[in-house]
Amino acid sequence: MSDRVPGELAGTVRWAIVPYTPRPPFRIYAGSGREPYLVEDVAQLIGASRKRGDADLTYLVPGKARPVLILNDPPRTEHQEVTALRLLRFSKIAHVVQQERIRQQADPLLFHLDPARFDLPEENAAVVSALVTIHTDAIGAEAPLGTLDDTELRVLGERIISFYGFDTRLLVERTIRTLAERRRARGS
Amino acid sequence: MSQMSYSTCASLFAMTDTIKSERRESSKDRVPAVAPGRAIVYTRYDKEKSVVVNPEDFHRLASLDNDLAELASDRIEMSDFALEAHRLEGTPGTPIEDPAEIEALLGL
Repeated sequence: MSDRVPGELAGTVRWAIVPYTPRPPFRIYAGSGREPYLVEDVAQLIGASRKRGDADLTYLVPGKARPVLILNDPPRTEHQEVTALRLLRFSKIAHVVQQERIRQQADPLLFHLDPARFDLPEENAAVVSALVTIHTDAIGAEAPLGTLDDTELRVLGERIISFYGFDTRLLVERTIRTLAERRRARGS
Repeated sequence: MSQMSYSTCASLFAMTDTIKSERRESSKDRVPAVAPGRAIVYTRYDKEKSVVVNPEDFHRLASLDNDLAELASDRIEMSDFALEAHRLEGTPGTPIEDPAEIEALLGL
């Protein structure tokens, strides 16, 4: 088991094993030499689980080794899960105009990664709408393929909050109040 | 381009970490004096190049910037209990992989 330390992962692009988001039909592993069961109806699985209690099944979920942009460090050494964004390869973008918009950081949901700074097989952008959770043991141990600086991470964080619609009103209000109190106390 | 994408795009290039200043003798660069609350914006080919502000204003803004950076870096610590809660709900039990049990469970 890995023991990643803070400061090692946030803002880095690394290879990792990343599953796709599960969706029907669900394929349920039924032992070696058996075809998996295919279940289309999510209600059937939820109903069975509620009836049985804590029944775990092995869902066969496709995934692949791919570079991802990791957003945070593990909060504690005992907690080795981090969030990351999948990357979009430029060869998958048909229109040159769209590619150029991404290079200019004009598309808020596609964060351009400068190919001069990221040692990837081709030019990429981080997909803001493709947030995943990854265990650090599923992340390659090699050196990062590139790293975002603090400013870029801050901008990306703002885009993520904005896209997912996290309501930060209370956080902003608390920050403003604390800021005002500090300045009052300082007499500035 | 939407308003949001414009502001996000602009902030990527305009924003820096907290302001780092460098002291120079004013005789070297012949910088004009500026009254508090005023700023002189120097342009080149219609683009803003440098801004001269009064030292009081500068220190006020730099201090605000530092305070904000400090507050923004506050992160909720993961307590032992939260860690345990995550472990309890994030660790799979022994999965049912026996076909007969699966069929019975799912009513197949």
